[in-house]
Amino acid sequence: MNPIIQIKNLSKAFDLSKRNVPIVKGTVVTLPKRDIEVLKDINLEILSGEYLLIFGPSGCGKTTLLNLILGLETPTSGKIIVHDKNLGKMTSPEKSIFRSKNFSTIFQNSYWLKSLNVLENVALPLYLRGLSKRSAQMRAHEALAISGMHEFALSRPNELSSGEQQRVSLARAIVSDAPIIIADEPTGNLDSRAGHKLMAILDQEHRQGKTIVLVTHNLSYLVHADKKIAMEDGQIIGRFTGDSLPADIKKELEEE
Amino acid sequence: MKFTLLLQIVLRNMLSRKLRFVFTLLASAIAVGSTIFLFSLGYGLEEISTEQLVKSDALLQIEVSSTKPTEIKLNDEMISQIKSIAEVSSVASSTSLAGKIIIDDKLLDSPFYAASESYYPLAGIDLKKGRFPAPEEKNYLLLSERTVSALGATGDNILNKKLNYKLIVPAVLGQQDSSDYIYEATVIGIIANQKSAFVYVSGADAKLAGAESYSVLKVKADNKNDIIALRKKVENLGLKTIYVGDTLQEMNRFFGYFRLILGGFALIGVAIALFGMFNTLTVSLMERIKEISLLKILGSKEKIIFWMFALESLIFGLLGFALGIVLFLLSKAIVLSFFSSLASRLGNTSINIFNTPAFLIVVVFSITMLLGFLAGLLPARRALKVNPLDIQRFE
Repeated sequence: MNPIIQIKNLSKAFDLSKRNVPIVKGTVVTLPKRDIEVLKDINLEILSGEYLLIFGPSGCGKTTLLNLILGLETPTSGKIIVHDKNLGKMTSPEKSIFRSKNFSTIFQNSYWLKSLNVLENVALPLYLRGLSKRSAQMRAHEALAISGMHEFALSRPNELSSGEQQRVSLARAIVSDAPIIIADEPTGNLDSRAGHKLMAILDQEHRQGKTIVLVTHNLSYLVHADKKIAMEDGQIIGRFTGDSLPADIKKELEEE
Repeated sequence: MKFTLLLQIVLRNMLSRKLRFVFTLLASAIAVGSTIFLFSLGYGLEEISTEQLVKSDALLQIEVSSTKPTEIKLNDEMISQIKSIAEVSSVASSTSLAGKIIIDDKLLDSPFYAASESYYPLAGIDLKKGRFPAPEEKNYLLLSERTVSALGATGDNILNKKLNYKLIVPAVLGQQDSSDYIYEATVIGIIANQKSAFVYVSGADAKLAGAESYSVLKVKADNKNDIIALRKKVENLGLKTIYVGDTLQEMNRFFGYFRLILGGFALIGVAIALFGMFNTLTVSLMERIKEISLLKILGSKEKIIFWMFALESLIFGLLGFALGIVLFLLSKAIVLSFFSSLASRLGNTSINIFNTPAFLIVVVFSITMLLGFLAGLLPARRALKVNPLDIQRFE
C-alpha cells in the first residue's frame, strides 16, 4: 500500500521569547531568545487505510504533530507530504481547501456554529464545499444515523451531553467522506461506555477504507489500531503493531 | 457555500443577540431618518422661500423707484425713457394710494394700488377667485381676502358686485383735491392674501384722482443676462433699482450654510451609528473566534469568512436605511399634522415644509451602504487573520 502521509525529519520549536523576563543592562533591554523544541526529527509513514494510534504523556507533542499534519502549524524544519503534496509549499487558503478535501477532524471538545442546529452543523463541511442545502442535509442525516444521533437532528448541539456532542462531531467528520480522519483525544471527556461507542464507529469507518490517526491517553484502545506509536519528549520512542505494550516502552512510560 | 445559506447563517447569527441587533439597527435607522429629515426640511424651507421668486418672472425684472420722489418723478415721460432702453421688454406701473371703500353705510380705510394690467403677472399676484383685468379695462376692483373678510363678506357674494370707493393721492404723487370723488367699480377678483387688507384698482383711476407720477415701476428685460446692463442704465436716470436675484443669491448663500450645519448634525448621527455598527461587529468577532477557527479547520474559503462579517454590516445598513425611511415618514407626518392644526387654528392654509428630492434618497442610500460595508471591513479582515488553533487556545 502507498503511504498517504509522509513525515520527513520533522521538527517544531516554539519561540517563547515573548514570555521571557527582559534582561536590562544599563539602558539596553533585550528579550532572551528561548525556543522550546516540541518535536524532534520525526519520521513517519502512514499508509492509506491504516489505523494509527499515537500515545504518550501530556506535553510530549502528540497534538502538535496532528496540527502539523492538518497544516494548522508550520514546521520549523522537515516536511509533511499528504497525497504526494508538500504542505510546506501551500499558502494558507490552499491548505484550507486541501484540508476540506482530505481530512476530517474530531477534537477532545466539541465545537459548533451556535446558530445552527445539529443537522446543519453536521452538514457544514458540505455547505462549505458548495453542495446544495438539500443534498448536504440528506448526507448529514445518513451520517447522524451512523453515529446514532439521528433523533437529535433538530436539537441545538449545546443542549446535548458531552458524549452525544462527540458522536455528532464524529458524524460531521464522516459526512464529508474525506479519506483521512484525524482524532485528537476524542474520548477524553467521555465515560468508558460513550468512549467505546465512539471507537466502534471509528472502527466501522476504518473497515470502509478510511485512514485514521488517533491520539489518545487511553491504552485500552491500542487494540483498535494497526500501528501504534509511543511518543515522549517530542520524539517517537517506539513503534509496534501488537495489542499490548512491549516491555521496554511500558518501562519508559512507567518511569515517566 | 451557497449565498442563500450564507445569508441564512448571518441572519440567524444577528438575531441570536436580539437586543444588540435592535439597538444597532435603531442607531443606523435614527442616523438615516434624521439625515433625510433635516435635509428634507432644509430643501423644503428653501423651496418655500424661493418658490415665489422662481414662479413669477421675478428674475427677469427689476423694481424701480425714485431716489428723490419730489425731483425725479416716475411719470409717463420717465416710462418712455425707460422703454427706449434696448434691454427693456415691458414696463408696468403701480401707484400707492390711500382710500375708503363704501359698502352700505360703512366705510373701510384701506391701502389702494392703482396698477397697469401688465403689473399683475410681473408682481406674481395670485387670485383666489375671479379674473385679472383685460387690457385697457377700467372700473374694476381686486380685493385681498383680508379686505373681503373685513367687509364682512365672502368671496362668492362679493364677486361681480359693484362697490363705491374714494381715493386719496399723497402730495408727493400729485394733487390732493379729489378725495371727495366717489368711484364705482365691479369686483372682478379676490387676491389670495389673508394677512393684509388692500385693494387694486385701474391705473386710470389714479390719474383721475390727480396722481401725476407712479410709486413704483416693474421693468422686465428680455433676458436674465441683460439685467446688469439694464440696472446700470436705469440707475443712470437717477432711479433706484431692486433686483430679487440679489436676495436669491443671499438666500442661496444662507441655505448653503444651513445645509452645512444640517450636514454637521447628520454627520454626528452617522458617526454614532457607524461606531455602533463597528462595535457590534467587533464584539461579534470576539465572541465567534472559535466559530471562525472551526470554519477554517473545516476548510472554509477565506471569502466565506470575509462575507460573513461584511454581509452582516451590509444587512445592518440596508435594514437601517429601510427603518430610517419609516422613521422619517413618521416624524414628517407628526410635524406636518402639528403645523396643519396650528395653521387651521390661525386661519391659514397648511403648507408642506418638507421637500425630499429623489437624489437625496439615492445619496443617503449609497452612503449608508458604503459606510455599512466599511464598518464591517475591519472586523472581516481581522476574522481572516484568526489562527485556526485559537479553537484550542480559547477554552
